[in-house]
Amino acid sequence: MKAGTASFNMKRVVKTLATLHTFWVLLILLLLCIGFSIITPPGTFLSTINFKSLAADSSQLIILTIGAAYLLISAGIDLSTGSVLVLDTVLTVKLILWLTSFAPVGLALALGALFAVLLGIAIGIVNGLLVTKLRIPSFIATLGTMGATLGFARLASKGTNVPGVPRELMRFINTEVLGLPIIAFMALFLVILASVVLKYTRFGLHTVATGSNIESARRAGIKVEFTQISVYALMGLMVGVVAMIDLGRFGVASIAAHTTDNLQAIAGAVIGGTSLFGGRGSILGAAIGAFIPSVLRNGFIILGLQPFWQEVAVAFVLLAAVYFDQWRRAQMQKIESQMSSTPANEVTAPSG
Amino acid sequence: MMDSDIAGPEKSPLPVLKARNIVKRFGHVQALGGVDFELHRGEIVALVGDNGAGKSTLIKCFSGVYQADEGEIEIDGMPVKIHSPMESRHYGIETVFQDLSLAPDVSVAANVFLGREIEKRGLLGKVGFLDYPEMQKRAAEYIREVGVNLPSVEIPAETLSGGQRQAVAIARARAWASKVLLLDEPTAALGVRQTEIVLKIIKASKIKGMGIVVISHDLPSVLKVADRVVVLRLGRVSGNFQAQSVTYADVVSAMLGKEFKV
Repeated sequence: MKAGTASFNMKRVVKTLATLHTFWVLLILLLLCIGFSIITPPGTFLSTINFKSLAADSSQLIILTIGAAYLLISAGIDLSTGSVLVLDTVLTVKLILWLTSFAPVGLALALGALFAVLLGIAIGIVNGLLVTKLRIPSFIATLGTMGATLGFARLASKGTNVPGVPRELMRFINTEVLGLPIIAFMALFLVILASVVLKYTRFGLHTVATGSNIESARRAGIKVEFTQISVYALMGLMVGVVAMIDLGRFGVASIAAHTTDNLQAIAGAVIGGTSLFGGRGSILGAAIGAFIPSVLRNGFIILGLQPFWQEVAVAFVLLAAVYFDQWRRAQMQKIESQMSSTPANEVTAPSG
Repeated sequence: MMDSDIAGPEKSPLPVLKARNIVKRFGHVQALGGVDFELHRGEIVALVGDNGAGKSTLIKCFSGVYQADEGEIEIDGMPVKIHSPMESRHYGIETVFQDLSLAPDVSVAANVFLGREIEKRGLLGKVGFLDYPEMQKRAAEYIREVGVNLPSVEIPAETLSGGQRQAVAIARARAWASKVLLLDEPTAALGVRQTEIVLKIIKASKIKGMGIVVISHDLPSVLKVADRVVVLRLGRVSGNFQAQSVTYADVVSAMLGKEFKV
């Protein structure tokens, strides 16, 4: 009886803690928006135009954050995201430029998009193989690919930006649907899809199980290495999608951009309640978490502060999120030890 | 308590698991020096011995974690080579490892079905969507079968107590095992009452017609449920007793080195 009620409370506590995080992150996001609305001049932060640009700015990061969240849940990490993105944009522009010299633009863009996605996936698979087959810790493996891909990007572009993205792509990416940028809908679609896949499919379960306890997952017959490689490939897929969006928005493959995308994506996921230690996370939370850096930057720019303050602010939010995660784990363990001590007490009573 | 008549070993002539002259070396250390072992359907064998006697090593040769360097293994009279845990499971052998092998963040139901998930029917199932309601229903049944009450099978495994986790791990193995159930120290981390529950589960599992091997340090407990006691010492069998007629002292002296005729 006693153990039963304790378990019931436990269940409630767990549920509350799990839902709490997404709730808190959403609340912080809303407070930030309200705060900026009040302290910025009227019609700046709180305006349709700014809201649209905020949505457009966040969309790219949100898509990358989906990949980062999956990786963290599987107990991996990818530091190469931004560099792979730069390489992907550089090579894709070059391919599209070459293709348009003899093929219709539509075909060139379609092939370019296919290439962008496949290149992202291919580099993701390389990351996955480094981690699983060569057993290099993911932190170091992706640090390696981060350097290598950025080097290749600079070699391929001779260190300068590569312009010349066809207008058709720019027109498409900057289209608005129902008053919002089309890429915001792309991001929303991917968030929902990724969330459903994580919760309801075998791949999702295997990702969580691998991150939760890799040895248990392996013994249960899960192909853990295949799962890990797939998750890195998924990150690569997201990079490929973002590469096309980036080219369409800015019309140029910029060699100096995206230097902090990797950390921003990880920060977004962690702020959104994804554990750095694997096994736990929410795609919806990660998407909301990814919004916070964008809102901060946007607000700071409007306030006329140096945008670099955003980096400082994001760092603090990230630290707070990780601290919260640790604290939550400690709480769980406390509850757990109380749980296991309860039956022991029950046993001593009848035997004594 | 289980009536021993119902749970009594219905010995078929052919052992469900038979091992001959199993040798396993780790570098220069010989962990198993030629072990013969037999297990019948409906029989519970307690595998006991001092630390380093080779109990876990022997079980891991059956569960595919290790491959024996020499010797033969037969399942229902058929010679087999067990190269991996997957192959072991394919032959109808399920193992409850000492660390239970549950994924802490994953729900109890999903843990029971991990690696053997039930897909939804139709197109959604084809693309990997899982039938969680069905898995929850069946997992709850499996856990009820072992006589343990959980508040829910949807809660993460890490929220369970040690005894509950052990019950889930055994329920899972029982549900999937068709021939042999291997249990490595199933009561090591448990209190008195929880040990009783787990022993009851093990005894009740005989009804399913499996052969069961239990490794344990806890001699008095394991003697209560075992039909036979096999003692290992320094990688060899040093005693093989019918549990009914053996005394505690016999087992201990076999563990410590007094040779008995097998």
